[in-house]
Amino acid sequence: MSAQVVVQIRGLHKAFNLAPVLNHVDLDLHAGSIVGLLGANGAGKSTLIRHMVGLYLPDQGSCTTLGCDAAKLRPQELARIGYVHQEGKLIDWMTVGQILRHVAAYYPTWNREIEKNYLAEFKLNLHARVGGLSPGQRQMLAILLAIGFEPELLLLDEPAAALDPLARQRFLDMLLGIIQDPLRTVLISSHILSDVEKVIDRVVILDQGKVQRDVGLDELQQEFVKLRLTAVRGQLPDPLPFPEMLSCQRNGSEALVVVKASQDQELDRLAQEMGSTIDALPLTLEELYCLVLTGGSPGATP
Amino acid sequence: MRQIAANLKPLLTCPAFYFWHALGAFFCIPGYWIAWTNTGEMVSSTLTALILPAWSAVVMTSLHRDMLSRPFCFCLPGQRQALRKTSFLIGVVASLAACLTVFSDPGFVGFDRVWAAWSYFCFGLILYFSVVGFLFLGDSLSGLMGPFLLFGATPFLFEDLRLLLQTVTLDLPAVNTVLLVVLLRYAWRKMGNAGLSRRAAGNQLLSLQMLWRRDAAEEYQEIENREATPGENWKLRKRLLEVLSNRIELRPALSFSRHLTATQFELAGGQLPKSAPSVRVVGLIAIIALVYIGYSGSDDPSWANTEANLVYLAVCLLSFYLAAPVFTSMLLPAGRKERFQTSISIAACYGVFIFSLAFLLYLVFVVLSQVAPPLTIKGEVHNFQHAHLKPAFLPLVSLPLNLILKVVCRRWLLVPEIILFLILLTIGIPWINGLNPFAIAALLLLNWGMLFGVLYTYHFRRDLILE
Repeated sequence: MSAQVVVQIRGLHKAFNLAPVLNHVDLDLHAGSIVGLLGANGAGKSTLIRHMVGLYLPDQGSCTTLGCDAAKLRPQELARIGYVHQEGKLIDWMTVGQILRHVAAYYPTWNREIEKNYLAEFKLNLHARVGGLSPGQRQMLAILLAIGFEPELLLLDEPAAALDPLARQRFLDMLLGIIQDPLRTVLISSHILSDVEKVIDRVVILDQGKVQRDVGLDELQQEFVKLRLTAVRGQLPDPLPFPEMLSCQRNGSEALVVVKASQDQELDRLAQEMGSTIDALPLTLEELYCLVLTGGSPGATP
Repeated sequence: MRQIAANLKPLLTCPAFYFWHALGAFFCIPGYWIAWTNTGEMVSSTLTALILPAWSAVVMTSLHRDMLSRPFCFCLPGQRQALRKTSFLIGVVASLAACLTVFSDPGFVGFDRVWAAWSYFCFGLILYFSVVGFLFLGDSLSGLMGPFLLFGATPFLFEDLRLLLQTVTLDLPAVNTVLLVVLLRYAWRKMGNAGLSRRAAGNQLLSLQMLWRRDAAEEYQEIENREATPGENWKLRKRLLEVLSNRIELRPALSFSRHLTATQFELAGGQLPKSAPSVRVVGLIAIIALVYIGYSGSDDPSWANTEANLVYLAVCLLSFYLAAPVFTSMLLPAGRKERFQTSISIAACYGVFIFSLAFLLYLVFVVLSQVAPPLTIKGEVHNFQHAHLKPAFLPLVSLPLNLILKVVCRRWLLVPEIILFLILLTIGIPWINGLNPFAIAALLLLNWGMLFGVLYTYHFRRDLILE
């Protein structure tokens, strides 16, 4: 990629109470990319994001954000970064209006238009106390505080975790609007992969503190293929003639199999051999994530 | 019995169980020791009968409430019965242990001893279930702290109550027995009632076990915040916050001074009292306390002997509410350097505030000493004694220690406060009276220097998220 590197992580290692949480992670975030950071609970997603903004210090390795050592970020760089904390912790005693005014005071680029639009969109009452908001409303407020100044780098740590389906949809619509700016870099860590899938163009999968995959979403989708086999007459043969089957669900004359995409060139021949029709189906991000984490081993069920 | 054992296990393996016992012992043992040694025989047995069951009730009920509040507990088969049985078992064991002291008391002989033991046992159980009932009624910090204060104050303040209790326990065994039977029946029915569990299930109750963990207490505070009515009607607070809020934007954008003003606004809003009546109540209590302290001192004019100096301890206690803004979970445009500068500046502001308050108290004392007339109580004349200026530096010496402990022991909720309170009580108050100005200056330098070092380390070499 030729785009400018916004975040560069090299050999990042972090341990809490001697237990490694991040294990020599290397990662680049390029300007304008929309990256999904995926991983199980405790995989190290939040820890990695907190290093990017300098809230955590690495035990080993380095993290450079916007060309600066993340630990030494100055107000000028920090004013270009939006960050939504996983737990949505804010200042409880303030009202929504007070906290907006308080945070806006920090940023010379605060956009009142965005504030007004999202206040209406999220139905947040300016006079409500932050401590009295529901977890979903707090999360929405945290999101608004992170995007109100139109940051160049937006780091969203489980932003939709506390949102109900309707609010999540509104958030996704908002996110689709935000990513229209080609210079804005967005990193989203989320468990709700179906949501993330709609917006990201790159996937980083963390597992036990290590980057398992760092790849474009299209590229990942092209690595595997899901096939629906339907026997024209009688039953499908047993076993099915795929040398490397990653998963298989069969029911008499029908079967759903996932194979490496390299095998799809021989599909016509195999279809003839089995006396069946073969339809290729797209894999969801959730299925791809499971395939990557289980190592794409034969018999694994996405 | 397996369910009872399972319910007792968390109680006995919880560090908070031992912590609260140690704390309770620290506050109560000196008082009871004084009462024990200064009064006649049999009083020791009365006091033991008083303290053991009540104390067990506090700890057990706190755990009981903690367990009832877990929604999964409501669905566990037989859990309600097990908790009730556990509570009764603890009550019986504590009352038995309490009544055993009768056998080592030389005041009782022969059959009187057995009779007294039975009477103490009944009284202990009555007390146990009374405290259990009291704690189940309330759901606040004061509800939990009430028994602590009561146990600490009883031997000092209620001389006559002690005698009354002794009379009740020894002279009215039949009444105790009947009362116990009625109370046991009532408690057995109430504590096994599904309504009790239903009310508690899912509620975030404040328990002694929780206070040990800062995150749990913060979670409780969040729920309190959500449920409480705003009631912000102290005009001075509003005005002060307005002034601070307006000043933020007068500072240059992205500068340290803007961050400092914004942090001052944030801290002031969090720490200033919200309602005007509460401010008036606090003011009234402070005036009563000043007058009481002023008159309770000895007439010795030497400043080192003036009990009025203890008022500065109250200022130190007030400073326990203050903490340096080191940790954060919100990302605002302020780097570690700006955060460090802000923390140091805020600590300095706290210092100015605390010393001003101590000095103001000194001035009030001096004025009061000029106008307050001598009081004659029970034939004794009490003159108003004012505090002296030198110990007014004590809050300024203790403040950096408080701020350091709040940073270093950030995972524990009350530990910094307790450590500092012990230091002040055992070293601070007795020593500060005897120190010369140079020693006080050296202490100030040392403590503030240590604070600088700790803040520097935490801002530049540690993670900034409170975990």
